[in-house]
Amino acid sequence: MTVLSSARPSVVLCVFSEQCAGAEVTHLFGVHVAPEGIGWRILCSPQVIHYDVRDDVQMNHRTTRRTTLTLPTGSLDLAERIARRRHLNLSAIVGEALERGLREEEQNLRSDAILRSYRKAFAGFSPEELLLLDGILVEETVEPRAPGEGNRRGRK
Amino acid sequence: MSDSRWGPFLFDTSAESWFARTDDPRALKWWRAYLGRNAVSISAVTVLERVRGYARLWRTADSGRRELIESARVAYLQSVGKVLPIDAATALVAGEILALVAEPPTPPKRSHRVAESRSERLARWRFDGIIAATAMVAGMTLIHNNPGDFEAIRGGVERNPERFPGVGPLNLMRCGAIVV
Repeated sequence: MTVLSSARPSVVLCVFSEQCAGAEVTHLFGVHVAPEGIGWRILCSPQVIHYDVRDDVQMNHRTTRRTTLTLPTGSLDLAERIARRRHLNLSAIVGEALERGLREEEQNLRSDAILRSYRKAFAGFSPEELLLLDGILVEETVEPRAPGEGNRRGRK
Repeated sequence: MSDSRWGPFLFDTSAESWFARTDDPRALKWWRAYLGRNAVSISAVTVLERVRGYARLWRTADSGRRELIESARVAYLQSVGKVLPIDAATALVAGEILALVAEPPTPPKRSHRVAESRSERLARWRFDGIIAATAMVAGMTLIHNNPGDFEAIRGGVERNPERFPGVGPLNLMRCGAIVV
């Protein structure tokens, strides 16, 4: 607990968690208190502020908009079965699946763009040039001359 | 959080190219999924090696080809995700690695017409040491296509853990192994 001020009636912040419908719910209370002797007197309940963190999480992550979609019957049937099994509504299941699919699509677009860049970075070079791009600098060798032969440097 | 299949990983220069150029459908599938989840992490040394490569090609190319090289360089820089710097910790670990295995464990690259000079090979080896150190300091598995060099570093680190307090071991994974 944190006391914000001890000089006059103050707010004490209290946090506690509890299990609610199988999930952990965190409550944050701001309790108005006043100093009394060596302790504190909790003022009457109208000054107690209740804030459920879960509400805020849901607000952030579950902002929704009603719309009408035409979906494949098979997918819809499957989504309904999953929704019944998980005790969730159909919108939640379809929303989850859609989020996963869109994230995957975004990843694919990103990887395709990088793949294209990599392909372009190494296209159109000879094997020796590719060695150079790998940090291996090779040069043409001067082979030992056989009797009666000229210098073979640069010979293709 | 590092996952054995999804990382995030540090890609060595050789591994980045391997994935960028592979036609193996399994590798492409993994690479595509990986890119969807993570930015590609590379060492600043990889950027140095690549940009030096593009710059050298550009300097020796005619004007018509320079355009292609420049657009490839820009495409590469656009695809780069996260570049890990060479900071003090990385320099310290790299110094220990290069003292343990001072000479490149594999010979210079050569084919019938071209060869890598000894000094270039030594420079590349030192770059590999810095890349391995970067992975160790970041606590990331290093994806590579260069077992000759990196396995030598891993062995050295494993035999001398007292020289690497608080970091290591060097975790390695070959490009091919990740898609099996």
